[in-house]
Amino acid sequence: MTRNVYVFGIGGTGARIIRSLTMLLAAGVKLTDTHKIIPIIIDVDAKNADTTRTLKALEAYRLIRERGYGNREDIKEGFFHANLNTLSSVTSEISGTEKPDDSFQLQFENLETSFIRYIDPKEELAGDVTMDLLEALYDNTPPGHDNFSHTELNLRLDLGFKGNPNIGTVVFNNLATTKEFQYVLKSIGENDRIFIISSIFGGTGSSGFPQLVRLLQEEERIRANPFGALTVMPYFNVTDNKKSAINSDRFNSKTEAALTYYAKYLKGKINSFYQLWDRPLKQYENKEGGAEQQNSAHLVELIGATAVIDFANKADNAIKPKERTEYYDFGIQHEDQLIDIRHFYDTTKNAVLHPLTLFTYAMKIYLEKIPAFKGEAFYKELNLNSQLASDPFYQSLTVFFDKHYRAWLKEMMENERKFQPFNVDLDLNSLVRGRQIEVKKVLGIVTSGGITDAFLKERLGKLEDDLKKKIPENEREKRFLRLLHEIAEECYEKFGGLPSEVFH
Amino acid sequence: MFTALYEMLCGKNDDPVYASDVYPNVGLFTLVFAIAFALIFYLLLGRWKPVWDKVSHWVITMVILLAIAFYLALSQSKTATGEDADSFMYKFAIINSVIALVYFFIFSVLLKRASIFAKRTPF
Amino acid sequence: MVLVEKAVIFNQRLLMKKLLCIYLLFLFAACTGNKKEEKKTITASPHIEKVNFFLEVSGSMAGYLNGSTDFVKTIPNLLVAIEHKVDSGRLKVHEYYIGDSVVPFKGNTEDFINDMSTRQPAKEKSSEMQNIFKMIADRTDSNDISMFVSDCILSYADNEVRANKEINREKAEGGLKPLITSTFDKLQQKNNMCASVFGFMSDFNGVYYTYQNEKVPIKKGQVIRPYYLWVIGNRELLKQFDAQLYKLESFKPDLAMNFGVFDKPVTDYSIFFRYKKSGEWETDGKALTDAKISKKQPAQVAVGVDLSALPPYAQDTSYLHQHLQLKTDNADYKISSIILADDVSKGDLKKNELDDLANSTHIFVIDINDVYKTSGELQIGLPLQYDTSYRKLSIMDDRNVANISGKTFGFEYLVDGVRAAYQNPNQNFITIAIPIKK
Repeated sequence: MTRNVYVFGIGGTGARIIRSLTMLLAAGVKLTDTHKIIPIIIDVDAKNADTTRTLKALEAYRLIRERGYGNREDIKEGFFHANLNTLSSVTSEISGTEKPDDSFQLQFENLETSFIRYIDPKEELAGDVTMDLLEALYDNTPPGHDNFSHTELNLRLDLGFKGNPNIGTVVFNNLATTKEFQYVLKSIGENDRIFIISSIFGGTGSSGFPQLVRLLQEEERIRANPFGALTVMPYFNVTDNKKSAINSDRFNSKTEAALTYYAKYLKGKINSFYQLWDRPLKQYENKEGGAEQQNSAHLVELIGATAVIDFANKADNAIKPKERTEYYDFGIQHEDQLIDIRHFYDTTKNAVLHPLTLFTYAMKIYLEKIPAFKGEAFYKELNLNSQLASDPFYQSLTVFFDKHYRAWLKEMMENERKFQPFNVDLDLNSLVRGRQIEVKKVLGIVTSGGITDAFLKERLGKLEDDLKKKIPENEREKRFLRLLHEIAEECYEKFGGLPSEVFH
Repeated sequence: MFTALYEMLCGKNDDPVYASDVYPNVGLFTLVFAIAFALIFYLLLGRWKPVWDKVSHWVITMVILLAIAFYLALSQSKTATGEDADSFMYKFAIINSVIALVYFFIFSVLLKRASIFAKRTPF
Repeated sequence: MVLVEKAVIFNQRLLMKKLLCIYLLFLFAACTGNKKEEKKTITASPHIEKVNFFLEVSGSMAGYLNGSTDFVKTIPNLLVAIEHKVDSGRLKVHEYYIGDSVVPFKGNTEDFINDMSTRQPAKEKSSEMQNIFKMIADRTDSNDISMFVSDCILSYADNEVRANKEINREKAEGGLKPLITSTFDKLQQKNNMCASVFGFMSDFNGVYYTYQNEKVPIKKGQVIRPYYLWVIGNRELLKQFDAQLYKLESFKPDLAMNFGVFDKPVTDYSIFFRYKKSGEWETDGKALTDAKISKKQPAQVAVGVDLSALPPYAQDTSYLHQHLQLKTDNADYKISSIILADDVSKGDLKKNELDDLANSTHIFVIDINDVYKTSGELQIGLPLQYDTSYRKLSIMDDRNVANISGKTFGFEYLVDGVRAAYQNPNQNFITIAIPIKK
C-alpha cells in the first residue's frame, strides 16, 4: 500500500531540516511504499532566510523532477525520483474546500502586527481586567530597558516569536481557522503518515509542535494515522547581543520547560519520537530573525532528515502504537571534530551516504566536466549547446547543484562540528575523504588514471548511446538525469566503495 | 563499371591496359580503402574510445585516404604501362583522389549514425 | 604533469592510426606488385638442345673439299658463326661424317674444320639420299637442330647401277621420291619436325659421277656446282634457328625453301595502340572500336604480324605489296607501307607495345579513309603460291659436262618428295580480319 507522508517543519530548524531532506531526496535516497512526500513549512517569520532558502530548493527540485520525469509518478530510483510535492498537488478531487496556494509553506494570517494588536485588534481590551492579566503574563520589560516595543506584548509577530514559546502558543492556536489547514485535514488519507519537525529551544518550534499535534488529532479520522516527530535539542549557541531578544543562555532553561510540557501533554499521541542533539560548539551570529537569520547547515540537520526517511520507510507493522511510544536517537562510531563518511555505521552509509556520494560525483561532473566536453558526440546529441544555458530544466539543475547542494555541503564543512565527507574542491579521484582512487603508473606512463577526462568522455558517450535506445527523443531531460546517475555509478564503481575505519 | 566511370572523367587512353586493368583495379581498391577507412573511423575507433572522433581527425583521415588514392592511381598506371609518370597519369591520380573524397564523404554520412563517439562528425 | 601524460597517450593513439595506414599501404603495394610479375613469366619458350652437323662424305663430295673452293670457305665460317652468334653462342656443334653410316667426329668444331681441310674425308661409295636422311632423322632428338651438307644427288647403290645403268633415272620419281616422303613423314610425327633447304654454289675440283656412275673429271673453274644445306628440327626451333641464320652476314644462299614450317595461315595480329597512330579510334589490340573515321578525318593504324612461318620469298616486302589482297566493301583503306619489325627502333614504342613488336616480323601500316558500315571487318589476305624455282636446278641427264653447271641430278624429285610429306591444302598464307566498329 503506498501512502503519502506529510512532513511539517516548524520554525527555522524545521526549515533547515527540510532543506537537508530535499538534498537527500535529490540524491536519490529511496522511500519505500511512498507515493508522495509533502513538506509543509510552518513559520510565522515570513522573511526568514532559512525558510526562503529551503523554499527555493524545493521549487527547484519540483521543476527538475517535472521536466525530468514528467508527471509520471512511478519512478523508483535515480536522482530526484522521489515525488516531493506541494500540498495543493494532492488530489484535486477534494471538493468544498478552496485549493490553497501552490506553495510549500503554510501562511498565517494577520501577522503584520504586534502581539497585543493580534489578540485585540480592535483595542477593545484597553482598561479591561483582561488587559491587566495580559500585562501580568506577558509584560516582561526588564528594568532599564530602553524600548517599549521589545516587550512581549508589543512584539511584532511577523518576525517570529524570538524564542518566546509563550506567545507562540496563542498564535498557533488560530492556525486551525486558516483555509490551508482545513485543506490539510481534508487531504490526509487513511494510510498517510505525519511527521513533525521542531526545535525544542527555539520560539516557533517549541510552541508550535504540541499545538499542531493537538490540532491535527482533533480530527477523528486522522487520530489513528501514524505520527512521527523529531525534536532537536540545542546544537548551537548564539553570540551575546544585548540588543537582541534572543539569549542562548536561556536555551537550556527553555528546553527543560518544554520537555516537561511534552511529557505531560504529548503522552500517547506520537508513535515514533526521534530526538537529536549535539554539544554546541559553534556560535552563530545573533540575528533575531528575518532575512538575516540564516544559519549555516549543520550535520545534525542532515541526521534529522534521515529520521524522516526512517519513519517514512518503516513497515506498517514496525510502527509501535501511540500508547507505547518508541523513542529513537542517533549515534556515530566515533566522536571527532571533523566527521566524515567513515564515522557512520553501515545502515546510514548504504541508505544515505552512498546516494550522496553518487550525487556529489554527478555534481562535479555536471558543473565542471560536461560543459568542457562541448565537442563530444553525446553533448551534441543531447543538444546541450543550446539547452545548458537557456533551458529552464538545465538552469534549475545548475542552480540546484551549485547554489543549493554545493553551498549546503560547504556550510556543513565549515560549521562546528565539521562534516566533510567530500573534498568538493579537489579532483574526482580525491572526491571522497578517506579513500583515494589510485593512479597507477608503469615506467612513468599512466596505465590506470582513475576518473580521467578520457574515462568520462568514453563512458558518457557509450552510456548516452545506450540510453538513447531506451528513452526517446522527447524525453531528453529524463535521459540526461539517467545519464548523470549512471556515470556517477560508474565513478563509484571505480572508486570501489565507501571507506571505513576501525575505531578503538 | 569503374572503367566507364574513369573513362568518363579522365578520358580514354590509347593503351588498352587502362581499360582492362588499371581502371578496374584502381577503382576497386579506392572504393575498398574508402569503405575501410570509414568503417575504421566510425565503427572501430568511433565505438571504442573518443580518441579519434573529432572533425580534425576526420579531416586527417580523409587526407591520408586521398594520398593513398593518389599514390594508387599513379603507381598502378606506371606499373601497367611500364612508362614513367606523364600528365595523363597525374590527371588520373588527382581525379582518383577526388573520387576517393566523394566515396569517403558518402560513407561517412551513411556510417556515422552507427557510431558512438563520431556520431556528429563531420556534422 | 597531467597534460604531459595526456599528450603521451594521445600521441600513442595517433601513432597507432598512422601505423595502421602505412600497413594497409604496404599490403596493397605488395598485391599489385605480385600481379605484374605473374603476367611476365608465362611466355617461356623451348630451347634448342644441341646442333648436329652431318657432312656427306661420298666420293662425289671430294671435289668440293679439294683446294680452296667456295665450299671450303663457306662451311667452316658457318660452323664457327653458329657457335659464336646463334643463341648467344650457347650452342656447340656436334659434327658427324655421313655416308653409308654415321661416324661421329671426335673433337671440337676447330678440329673438325682442320680435319675437313687437311684430310680428305670424302671417300665413301655413292650415297643413297633416302638412307642418309633416315639416318639423320634417327640421330635427331626432339629438341635438336640437325644440319646436313650434301650435293643431294639422288643415286642407288653401286651394284644396282651396275646391274641397271638407267636405274637412277627410272626410279627417281617412283622409287626414291616416295621413300623420301615417308622419311619426312616420320620426322614430322616425331616432334613436328620440319626442314629448310638452302642452296649454295661453289667451284668444284674433282671427279663428278654421272647418273650411270661414270666418272667425269672436272677442273677448277670449269663448272660451278650447287651444294645444299638442309636444316631439320622442330618447327618452332627451326623458325628460330633459321631467323638467326639469316642474320649472319656470311649467310647468303642462292636458294631457300621451307618445308612444313608454314602450316596454317597467319590469322593472328596485334594492333599497336600508339605507334603510327593517327585519327580517332580505340583498340584493345585485336579490334578497332569507337572509330570516328571519315573522309574529313582519316586514320592510320599499325598492325603487327608474325610471318616467320612463311617461306622467305613470301616475307619479302615488295612481294607482299604486290600480292596482298584487301577486301574493301566495309571500308576504304589501303596498306601504305610494310615495315620490318627489326627495323623499328624500340624507343619509338610505348613499353606495353614492345611485346607486340617482339611477336611480329612485319608491321602493316594501314591508311583508312572511310568506314561505310557501323561495324565490319578489314580483311587482308595473301594467296598461297608455291615457289617452283627449284625445278630450274634439276637435271635428269648429267652425262655432258657442259650441261651440269649449276644443276643437280634428280633434284626436283628430291624436293617433291619432301614437299609431299608436308603438303597443306590451305589456300592462303595470310588471312587477317580486323573488326572495326564506329
